[in-house]
Amino acid sequence: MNADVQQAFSQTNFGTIDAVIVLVYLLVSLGIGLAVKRYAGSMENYIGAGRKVGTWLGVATMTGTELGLVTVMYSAQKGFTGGFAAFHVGVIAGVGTLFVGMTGFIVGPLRRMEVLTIPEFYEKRFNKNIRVLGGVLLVLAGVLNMGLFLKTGSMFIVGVTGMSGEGEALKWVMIALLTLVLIYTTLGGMISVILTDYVQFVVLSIGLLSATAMAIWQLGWSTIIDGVQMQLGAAGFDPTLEGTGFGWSYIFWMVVTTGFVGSAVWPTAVARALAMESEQAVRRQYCWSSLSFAARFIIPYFWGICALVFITATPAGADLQDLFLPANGDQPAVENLYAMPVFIGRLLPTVFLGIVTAGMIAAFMSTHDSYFLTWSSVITQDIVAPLRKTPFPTASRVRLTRILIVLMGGYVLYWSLFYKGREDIWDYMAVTGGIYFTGAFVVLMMGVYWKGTSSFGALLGLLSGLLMLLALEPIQIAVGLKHQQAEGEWVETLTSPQIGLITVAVAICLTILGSLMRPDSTDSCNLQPENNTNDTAG
Amino acid sequence: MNWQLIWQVVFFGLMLGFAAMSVLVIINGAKDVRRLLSGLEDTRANADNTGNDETPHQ
Repeated sequence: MNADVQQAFSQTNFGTIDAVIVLVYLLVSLGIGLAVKRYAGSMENYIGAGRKVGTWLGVATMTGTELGLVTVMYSAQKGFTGGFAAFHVGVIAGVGTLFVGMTGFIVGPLRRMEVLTIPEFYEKRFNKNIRVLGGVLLVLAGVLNMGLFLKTGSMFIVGVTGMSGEGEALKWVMIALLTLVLIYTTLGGMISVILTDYVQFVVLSIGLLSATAMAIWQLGWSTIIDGVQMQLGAAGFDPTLEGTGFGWSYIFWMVVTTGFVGSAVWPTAVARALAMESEQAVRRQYCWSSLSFAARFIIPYFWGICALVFITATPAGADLQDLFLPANGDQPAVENLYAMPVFIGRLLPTVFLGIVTAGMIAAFMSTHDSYFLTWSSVITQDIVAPLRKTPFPTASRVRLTRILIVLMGGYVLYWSLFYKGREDIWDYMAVTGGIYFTGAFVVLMMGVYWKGTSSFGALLGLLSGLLMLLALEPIQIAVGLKHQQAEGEWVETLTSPQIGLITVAVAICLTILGSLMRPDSTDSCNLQPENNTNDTAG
Repeated sequence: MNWQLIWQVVFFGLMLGFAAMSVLVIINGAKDVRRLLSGLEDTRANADNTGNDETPHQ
């Protein structure tokens, strides 16, 4: 980070009072997490909160989980580059979640079956091997997916506080945050995750709404509209225009990813549904959460838009224009992920800034804790337990899950420094998540709604998701799907959304073909709720 | 199609809806937290009384 950038970033309103607000919030979260440790004795409590979560708490925890700091950061980046046109993603997410809530699509049958994880459904519907394969793919994609969480979270803290991005201080802050999350997640499991999610929801919702109101008040609505029009033209409003980063294939890809997968198939969201006290509560939870599923995109998009307008159309942000949008093409631009936090750091007065920063750190923590818990419990319940020849008692399962949570914390720290792809963060997330969900979406949907789906069809459907690896930039370059022209411009043969849509189509075809070629015997599946044998089954 | 108008309606409608939902979640969520904790406490007490350290399955 050069001196000009450091100078520009240091002009933040973040002060001592804000730091105290953040510290108090962190201590409250830690205290809650530790206080409920005594309830986390069984696996059902540890990963499902005893299935006693009511509707409103369910909405809070769903929002806390799905509205992470990484979501805020990548969405603000999309708003900064795409303007209001990016709002279509939020609308699709909200409508998709409302549809799931009204119909119980996928999550209703899963809750009725009283499974704790998605791969557990695979075993009840197909067989143990499908459960293990589903678990492996889910963990592979899920762990890759959260690889950039820490990096983007650290960028927010750099931008808001004016801290040096290259100094030791930032690394220690991130390690401290990660350690805090690991402590309360490993000790209290889902119960502490849900209770801290509630506190995080309170802080987060106040932070989101107040910062948004402040942004409109400071910039003015007409300035925002005019600023986007001036910078991006019609492409800043119309998502159907091709060649602008969106277009129809992107919209259809969003219908799959944020419309259905994000709410009905993504394991951290489904884990919330499976922890609810009844199917009716699940549906209510989804109907209300449709607002937060839309807000988790649209509010950060709006912040990104405001950052663009602040930098390009106001005197207060004029010094940032050369850094983020240099007129001279040879001069490297500062990573545009920093635009929103720098804007927030300059816009909000002290105290407000402390609350919003605490809210964003809340978002960081609530996503990390849920992801750690979900992936580690899938490894324990759906990979290790089914493969063991000897009984796997509860205490050992909880211990293994805790060890895995800590290992994942180490991985997240490592991957944040290692991965060098150039995609937008959102595109990286959609692609890595797609490795799991393109296959799982098809297999879950067909497994629930088509009796003819067989184990062999499910196997082929799940494996199809690996085609999504072709959408990761380093692999695209290695196999020639993306190449650099003589002028230095990068050209894609197939875009990531196109590869995603092709993968879903291949998964559907192979699942149907496999099921027709090698059907299961008619009495091989058991879709009734079981008197749970999870804790002791070997 | 007037995209500016559409996004304006979507944005302000969502902000109102999200604000209202937040108030409901903060108030009713606190009640759910109390119920969750008392349910878990009861389950734990029952398990202690029966001398079983496992939570009974539902």
